[in-house]
Parts: sequence; structure tokens; C-alpha cells
Amino acid sequence: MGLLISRFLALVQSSQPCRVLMLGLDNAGKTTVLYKLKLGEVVSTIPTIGFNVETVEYKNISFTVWDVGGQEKIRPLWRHYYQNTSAIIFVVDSNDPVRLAEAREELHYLVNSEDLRDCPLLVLANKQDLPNAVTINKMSDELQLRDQAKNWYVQATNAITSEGLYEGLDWLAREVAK
Amino acid sequence: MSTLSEREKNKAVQEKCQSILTELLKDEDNKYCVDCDAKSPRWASWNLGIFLCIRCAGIHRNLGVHISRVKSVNLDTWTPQQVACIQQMGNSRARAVYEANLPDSFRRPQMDSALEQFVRAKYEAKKYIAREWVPPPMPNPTWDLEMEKHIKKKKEKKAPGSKNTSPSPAATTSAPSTASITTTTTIPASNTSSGTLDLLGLDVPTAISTNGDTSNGDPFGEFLAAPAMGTSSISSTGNIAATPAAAQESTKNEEENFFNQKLPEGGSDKMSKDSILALFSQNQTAAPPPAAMYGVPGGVYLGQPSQVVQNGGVVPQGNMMHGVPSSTAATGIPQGGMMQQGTMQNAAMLQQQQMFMSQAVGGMAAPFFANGGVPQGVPTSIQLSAANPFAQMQNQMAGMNLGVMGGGSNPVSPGQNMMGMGVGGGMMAGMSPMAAGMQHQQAAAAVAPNLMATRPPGASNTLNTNLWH
Repeated sequence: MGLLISRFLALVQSSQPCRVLMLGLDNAGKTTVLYKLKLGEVVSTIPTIGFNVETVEYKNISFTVWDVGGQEKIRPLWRHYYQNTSAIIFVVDSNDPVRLAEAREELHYLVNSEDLRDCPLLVLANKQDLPNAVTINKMSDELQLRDQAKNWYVQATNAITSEGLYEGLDWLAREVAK
Repeated sequence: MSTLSEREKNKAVQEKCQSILTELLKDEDNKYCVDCDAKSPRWASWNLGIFLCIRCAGIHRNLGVHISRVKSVNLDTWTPQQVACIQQMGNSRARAVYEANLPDSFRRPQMDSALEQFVRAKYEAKKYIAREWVPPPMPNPTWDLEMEKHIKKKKEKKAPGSKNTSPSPAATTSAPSTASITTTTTIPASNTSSGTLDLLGLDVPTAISTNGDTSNGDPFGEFLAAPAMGTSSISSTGNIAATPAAAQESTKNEEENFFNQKLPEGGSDKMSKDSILALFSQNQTAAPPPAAMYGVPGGVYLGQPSQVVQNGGVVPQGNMMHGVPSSTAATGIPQGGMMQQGTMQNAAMLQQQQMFMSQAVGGMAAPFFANGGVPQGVPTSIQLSAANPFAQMQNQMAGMNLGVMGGGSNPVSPGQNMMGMGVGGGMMAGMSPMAAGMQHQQAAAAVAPNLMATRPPGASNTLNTNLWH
């Protein structure tokens, strides 16, 4: 009986799995975001060649976040992570307006891919604390998100202080639960 | 057609950028990270004009792009301007500038946090900077345009279609002219800092310190137009001499023959990667003098692939555990132990490659997983030893894989490696290992063509160039 109850509880309590793909140009802050979410602290990172993956429990959802390196020549590898992805987090360095166009191209390539058709898109306008940071309004324009059919949301973040990170996850959790 | 030539041009420019960077990295001062003295840096901050190790690259990225713009030498594409920035500066000058007021007794910190403090003090607060230093204006090289013109010219010439000109003596009789041809197509030379000076077309060596005040602000234009500057310092260091414009003119005929001779297919009217590769491989076998001029057996490209392998070898065992074995676990192949031995990594990668191929051919993943328990290493090796032309190619690809995979399982920092292993690795093994493993393999397989496109097969001189078509 006790076994039954515990099993039942486990069933009820077990969090819903959600595979999240976190992409973005190199030096956007993906790895920092990942480990800030996972550990709650800022780790000293090196450029990711390959990927990092962590599970983050939040709002009874178990986010498995894949953080894939964003160097230009390894971006073609992103598509191998598309399969079975339920949500996309696209991290952008707000402090680097020069490369917003590049980010836009990559983003559009992403959202137009068949495998990611139904995935909600969370854009993290990261590094908002830095001097040249663009606002999320400008970001939405630059990334030409407004004419996207996809379900998207832009969140201003500062991964160092974790400002905005959980607001972003909140939105993601709501979308995934739908 | 325009897009095609555009692509062609981009490719050529990319190659030239890469080769300039490779040459720069051969410079004694650039063989060590500018901040921490770590060996063979593969990263750079192009706006600061310095070469970095990956750890310092991480620290530099923390500074923000308004201070330092970090790029990987191998994993990023470069613009001529970015490359020129590095040519203009380089590690030794950067130290002279940014560490001018560094105390004599200063010892470079090796600990992460201390190193970050030092880097921030050096570039953010500019604590040790030479006071009299004024940042030079951004160089504005135009050699990519020159290159475009060059390609066009060549096309026009080839259009009449002399498909099979008799083998010209260009390659064998006059080594210098061959070298200059090579230079114009792919390989610019700048080895020592004095070499850089000459390439910039600045006659006075001191000019570089006041820098950027070339009258037209176009150092590369001069580079191509400058009168014979192939100084002994350049050629003696095993590099190809800079191209004197006059020689270029006079050797155009030879050049024409040269290219026709080199292309195995003949008559291909575009300067594609293949033709460039063909040019190289033939060059090495047919004409020893130019090959010797590179100073390195196997030509200048040798450095890159070997570096790839080195990358793989350097990765600590724990790192390999992080990314790869979950995939082997998924397929049930008893290779876990092998993965950790540097020498066997290649075999493991090969196997992954092999499996990817079979998967691709089969068109379905099911059989691939179904025989999970079967030790697939045996069929793989058999297939490889069989003299099928693909085997060699796969070998090549696997070598490439190794680099990215090895570096690929490169978690955050040494400190986090263990954690990443414990958490990430464990999680992956537990959670849908099939999906994880399979995707990773695909990723591994896919990187090969990618890298193939970017790295010429210098590692295997014996590789038949036909394979690449």
C-alpha cells in the first residue's frame, strides 16, 4: 500500500521533462546563463567548443538545457540538436549591436527549420549592464521578430546578476505547460 | 553566376585570412599567449591585435566587446580587416604597449581569478599602458578586392579554353616564379615582425610604431603593388617571398600554364577549393623546390591538422567522459576504455563515422540501435583495411572529428570539468541516452564535411585529390 502511495506521489510530483536548446552567437553568454541557472553562481567560462548540458528544475518542469557552442564554423552543428526540442532559448549579446544582423540571420534560419516549428522562442537580450546595450524594443526590431509567426518573447537579462533569467523561464514554463 | 563567383571570392579570401593567421602564429612572439604565456594560442582578440589561449579568451570575453573582440583562429571566419588589425599589432607590440609600465618584478598570475584581475587591469583599466601610445586607425586592406580582380582575370584568360597545354616548365625550372604564383593565389607571407613591416609596404622599419599613417591608409594595396620586397629575412625563414608586381606581370604566362598543368580535371574554369588543393598536392610531389621553400615538409597546411589532433590529445580524460561515452553507452559498444587512450580515440571516432555512414545509407536509425550489443569495431576495421577509396576519406574525416569532439567535450573550466562530468555526463547517461548518443554522433559526423571544407588535407600528402571532387 505504502509502495502504491509513494509510486502515485512520484507520478504526480515528477516534473514534466522539457528539452530546451540554447543557442546564439559566440560570446552571447549561453554558458554563463546555463550555469547561473544550474548553480546560481557565476562560473568562469571558456569558449564552448561542443556543448554543455544541464537539467534545471523550475516550476515543476525539468528543463534539460543544451548549450551549444556558437563559433561560426561550428554553428552548422546546431541542427543536429534540433530533434525532440520543445523550446528554444536564443541568447544575444545586447552590448554588440554590430553583430545583431548576424544574430538575426542565425535566428531566422533556426525558426524556419521544420524540426523547431512548434517550439516557443525565448530571446534573452543578455549583458544589459554593459555600456552599449540595446533595449529589448530595439532588439525585437533588429531581430525582426515582430513578423514572425512563432511564439516568441524577448527578455532583458544580465546573466551575472541573474536579472531576468527566471522571468524568462517563467514565460517558457507557461508556454511549455500549454 | 555572380553568387557563385561571390562565394568563390569569399572562399579565397577566407583561405588567405587563414593562411595569414597561420603565418602570424609561427612568429616567435605569437607562440605564447600574450597574457599568461600559455603555449600555442589558438584564439585572438582582433581589435586588440593579440593572440590568446582559450582560458584568456574566456576572460577577455568577460570584458565585453567594447574592450575586446575575441575570435577563434580556426573556428571563426575572419575578415581581411580583422586580420590586418592583428598584423598591425601582434603579441610583442601589444606587450610593449599594454605592459609598458608593468613592474620588472611582475610575475604573470596563473590562477584563474588573479589572471582575470590582471587582464582587467591591463585592458579595462589600462593600468600599465604606454602613455604616449595612440591607437592607430583601423587598417583597411583591399587585397580581397585585388584577389577578386585576380580571379576574374584568370577566368577571362581561361575562357578561351586551352584545355591541355603541355606541361610547362614553370614548376621545375624557376622555383621563385612558382613561389610567387602561389603567393598570389593563396599564401601571403608574414612571418617575423619585420616581415609584417615589409608586407605592409612600409620601407622604414620605425614606421610601424607610428603606424597607420601610410598615405592612402591602404597597406595591402601597397603590399600587392610594392616593388620587390622579398627581403632575405622573409625568404630565409622558409616563407614565400612577397610578390613583386613586376614579376607578377612577367610570370602571367607561366602562371597560366602552371594552373592548367596543375588541375587534374583540366579546363575547370573556376578557382575552386579543389583546384587549389590539387595545386598543392601536385606541387609537393612534382616540384620539390617549392615544397622545400615552405620549410615544413608537406607544406604550410601541415600545421593545422596536426593541431587538430593535438587538441584531441590534450583533452583530459574526464572531458572525454563528459561528451562521448554516453553515446558509446547508448550503442552498447565496448569502447569506454578505449576512448580514454589517446591513441585509440581515432579508432573510436572512425567507428562513429562508420556508423553514421551506415545509418545514412540505411536511411533509418532502428537497425543502427538494434545491433547495439554487437562489437562493431571489427567490421569497421575490416572495411577500412579494404582498399576502398572511402576509407581514406573517412580516416581524414575521423581525424577532423577528433579535433572538434576532443575540444568539443570541453566544459567550462578545469574546475567545472568535474562537475560537468558528474552532473552532465551522469544525466545524459540516465536520460534518454539513445537520443543523446545518437545526436552526438551525428554531430560528430557532420563536423567532418564542415571542417573538410575549411581545412585542406595537409595531413595526408598521399591523399588522392580526386577523392575530394
